[in-house]
Amino acid sequence: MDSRSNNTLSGTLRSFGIVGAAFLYLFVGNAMLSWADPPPNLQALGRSQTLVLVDTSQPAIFPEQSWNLHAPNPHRATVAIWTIEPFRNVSVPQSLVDAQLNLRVINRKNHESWQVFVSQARTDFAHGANAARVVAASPGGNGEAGISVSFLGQELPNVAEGSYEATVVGTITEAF
Amino acid sequence: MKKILWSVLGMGALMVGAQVACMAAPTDSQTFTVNVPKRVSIAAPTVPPATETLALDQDTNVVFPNQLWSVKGNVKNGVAVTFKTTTVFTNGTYKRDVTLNLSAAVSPVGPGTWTVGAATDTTNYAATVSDEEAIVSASSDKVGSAGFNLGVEFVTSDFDEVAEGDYVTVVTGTVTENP
Repeated sequence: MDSRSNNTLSGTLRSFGIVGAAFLYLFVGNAMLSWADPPPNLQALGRSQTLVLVDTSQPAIFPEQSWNLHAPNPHRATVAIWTIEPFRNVSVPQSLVDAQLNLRVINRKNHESWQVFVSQARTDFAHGANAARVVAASPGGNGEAGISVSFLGQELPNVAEGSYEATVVGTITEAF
Repeated sequence: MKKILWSVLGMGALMVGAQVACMAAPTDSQTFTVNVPKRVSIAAPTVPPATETLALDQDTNVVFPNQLWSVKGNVKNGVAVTFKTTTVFTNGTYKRDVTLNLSAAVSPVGPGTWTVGAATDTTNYAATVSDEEAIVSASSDKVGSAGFNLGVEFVTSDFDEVAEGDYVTVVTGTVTENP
């Protein structure tokens, strides 16, 4: 092995070392900071929702659903993300209808806590956008978010009959 | 040796970091369902009833302008549509035969393929077994909507055998879901 290869290997190993040490430092620091605080959590307060499409010329909008947000760690930003994919016909899975999410903060502990960063997002499966995400974040503190789901069937000339389902998945995590 | 130790430590920390990043964050979910009812419809032309005049000494059919009908169906197996006259052109006790012609008017919308089955039909009220019903038909195989041109003709071969007056017929369009 020539000296150039040795240098490359040495540099690579050093890089691994630096990155690894950084991870280790952050991981340990994270563990120490989080020692006294339970992890964040979120909870959908509503049950499964169903509606019957009556007017095909307008989006079908579900009643706003409340989500509880718990961010007990005041030392780090906590991020909540809600995701939805297009509505899918239960019996004809290739039949899709786009979905839209709207997010607002209903309650928060104080003025500085939960803030909305992405308030509206929609899928556009015809152009490859198969997921919509809305985002809120807080430096800690509890809150309550309102999520509205829309069925964008009015954009299609014909929506096949049947049941269409979509699931909103909420995820909460502390920023690293 | 020192470098190797650092590298092993680094790789280990990387793996721990990756696992931490991949650890399932707290999640919850809620399902939303939309029930879309079956919707099958047919719409006759919105223009007033069509009226044409048989010209003096005209020995050919009176041809009405094409009439645009709209058909929709959001059912999975498509729809069947028929256009029919239940009577021939009638003027009191006088009758004249009617011909129906059906053709696609505009490009259909949706995944369904539309097919014209019986494109033309003519009544024959004077036959031994009288036929006063002209029927033309089309169908689709999936969800979609389409427009059809329906042509109506007042059958005439000799002006002199047509009694004067107004002759009327009614065309009825019917759409049904395919099984």
